[in-house]
Amino acid sequence: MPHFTLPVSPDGYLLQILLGLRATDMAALQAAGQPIPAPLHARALLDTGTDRTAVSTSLLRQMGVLAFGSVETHTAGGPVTVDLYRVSLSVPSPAGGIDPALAHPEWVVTEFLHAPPNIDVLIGLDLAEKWLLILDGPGQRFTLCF
Amino acid sequence: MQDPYVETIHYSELPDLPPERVLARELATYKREAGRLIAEGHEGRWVLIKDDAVIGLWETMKAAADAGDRQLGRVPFMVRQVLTRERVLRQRYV
Repeated sequence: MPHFTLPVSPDGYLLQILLGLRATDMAALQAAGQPIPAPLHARALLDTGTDRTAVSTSLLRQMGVLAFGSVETHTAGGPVTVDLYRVSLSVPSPAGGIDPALAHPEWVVTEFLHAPPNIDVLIGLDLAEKWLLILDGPGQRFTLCF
Repeated sequence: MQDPYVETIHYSELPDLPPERVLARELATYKREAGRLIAEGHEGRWVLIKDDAVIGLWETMKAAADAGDRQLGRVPFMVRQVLTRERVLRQRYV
């Protein structure tokens, strides 16, 4: 089974991910003669307390994606309505390259309101449940199998 | 049977969005129309809403969203599953 192993950081189980526009959005921008923003690298925290992957409001604005729905969420600060967005999302291997199993051309994410400066994305159960995760506490590392 | 550990909310109790929020009108439209859509047997289907108008209903979120892309272009719109009670998602990071 393909896999890679990463160290546990002081912030927790962190991954680097790539966020970009969907092909449909890129085609629409191209047709309108507008520039297509490059994919963004983001620091993503595996968070089993989050149901749907959430992306910081500032990154969503940078990408120029448009809301296509909203959902009620229960956050640590209480209930809040957040918007839903469609993005492309992939997890590059630390050695380089992106396995097709870790590339999602269209993934629905929520807005991550009040994201701290060191975390751009919360990887929720919607994504994490696609993987086999081995958390090695004593070894301070984790392995993502896909 | 509803899972007692999964938090849900009745459509009529969805909080209104402040007018400056991008989908405030669409959410108000959904709250106004949801009872009728459920009564007409559309529970579980996905509705596409733009401003004050229900554009149509589809069987999946993707089908409704793709229809929004095709019919409305690259503008904000609302796709929502028609449900009497919808799930409240957890986002617990502190």
